[in-house]
Amino acid sequence: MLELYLPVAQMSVNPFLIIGFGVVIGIMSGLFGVGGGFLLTPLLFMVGIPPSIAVGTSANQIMAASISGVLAHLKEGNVDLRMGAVLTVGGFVGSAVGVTVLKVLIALGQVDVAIKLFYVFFLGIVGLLMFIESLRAYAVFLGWVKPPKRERKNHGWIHGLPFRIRFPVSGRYISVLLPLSLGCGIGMLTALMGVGGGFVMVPAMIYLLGMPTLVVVGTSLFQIIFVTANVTFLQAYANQSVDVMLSVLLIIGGVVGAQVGARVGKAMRGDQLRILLAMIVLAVAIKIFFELVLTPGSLYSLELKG
Amino acid sequence: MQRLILTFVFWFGLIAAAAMPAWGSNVVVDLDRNDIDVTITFGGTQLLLFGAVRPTDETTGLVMTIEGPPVNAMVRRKGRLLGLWFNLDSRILEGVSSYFQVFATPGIDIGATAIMFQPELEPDVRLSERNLVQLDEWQQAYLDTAEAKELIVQNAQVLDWKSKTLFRASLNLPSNVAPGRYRVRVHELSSDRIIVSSTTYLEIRRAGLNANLFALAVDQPATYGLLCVVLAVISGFGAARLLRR
Repeated sequence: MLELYLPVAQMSVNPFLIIGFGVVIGIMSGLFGVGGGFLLTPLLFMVGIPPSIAVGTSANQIMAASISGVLAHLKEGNVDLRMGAVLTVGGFVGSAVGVTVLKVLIALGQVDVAIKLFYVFFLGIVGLLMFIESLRAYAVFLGWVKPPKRERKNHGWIHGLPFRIRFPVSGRYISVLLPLSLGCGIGMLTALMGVGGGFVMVPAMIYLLGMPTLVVVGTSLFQIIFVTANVTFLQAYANQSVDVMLSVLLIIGGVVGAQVGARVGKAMRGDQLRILLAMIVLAVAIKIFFELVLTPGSLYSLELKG
Repeated sequence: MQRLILTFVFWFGLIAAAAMPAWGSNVVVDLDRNDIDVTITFGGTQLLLFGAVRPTDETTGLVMTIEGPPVNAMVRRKGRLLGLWFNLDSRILEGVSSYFQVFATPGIDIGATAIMFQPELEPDVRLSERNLVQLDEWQQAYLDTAEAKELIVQNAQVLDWKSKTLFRASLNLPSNVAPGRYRVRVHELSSDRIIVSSTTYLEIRRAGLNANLFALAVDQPATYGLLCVVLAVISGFGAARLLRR
């Protein structure tokens, strides 16, 4: 059987299995417009890739996928470059903090538990919210319930924040602190979970920043490129946790999967897709939750140091 | 191939057996390869170990050990805290063998457990005394976790006699073996006492692209990090081109 040796992870893997993971993630991104990093990292755990390398390498794969994704949005002018730049600045700060936290967690020997806790927490919340929202949208479509009255909530404290600047593409005039702190938070998630953070970023852009839906995905992808680039570099530099061979395999699979996903996605309704996505997100959260609470098969784990 | 190796082993054995008195040793051991390259397609490998002994009236059997280069092993123990399993305790075992396997001819009762954490095996040492030594919790945990990674086999494997003087065994090295110098030793026993020992070495090293990438990632992490970023940029644009078609 063909095996490929990963120089940084120092183990061999079946390359077709890893390409297969890439395909699955590619399908997810083609289908749902999310990076799929939240699924990739746990899949890599399952085949024995060390947690820190799974997280670091995921960021590298997401970067490539986001570049190929953003080009179409750029061409159609659906990217708010100014907003993207502000989010990126926040993301750089957040990801630097995240990589440092990861380094501390590695030293403490708690990195696997910590990454899993982050997963359960964020995927649990986002999955649940997304599930409720998409079910409601689908119920409206079926005519079971009336559409909720849309009223723009008056976030008093948000409008009171200083340093307001104009974002012409999004048509917003808001405090720069908002996208800065949002970018910072998502940057930490990228470093700690190996996710692009689109699943948090997209809803936050719509509900918190009030951006028009049209520019949300393009702008999110745009800033993810720079934040994942920063995370890739920092993880490689500080934690030696990016395996370039693993990246190559995942990227190859991702290209194939994205094409499949985009075709299947056209045949499905948006709310159906979101119900499906929410169920996948929740399933991952629940699986990892059980890994944290059930008695492990072996109480001991081993790490060999040169 | 297998035939060829067997023929080779046979002749090696005969010549070795004939040459023994001149070497002043009663037992010799060798491998079908003394260097293993860990390349980008390395998925573990199988080695043939073989040797010859000139048994005396005292000889009752042979024990062969394969030891990997020493490493510092961090063993962690999980415990429950607030309903979740955290790594609550840990020990570093310094200088333990990163790989360990024992072969013994039929009738010899010994395992890695009895040998690995003890001082050197050498002539006049009695193996039975070593069986009495108790391992602590962490040493046992190291053996168990390393065995799960296929780096240690706790039970002795059978060392086959091919004739009265020739013996051989095949060794499976998994892909996660640590590069470095591996020591292969054969001890000739009289009941449980070692009469004479023989040693040979196996060198496992990274090679080709694998060696270059590893060196870059460890020695020049900034360059390596930039390489990963550039790779993602190129493949991202490449993928976009492909997808547009």
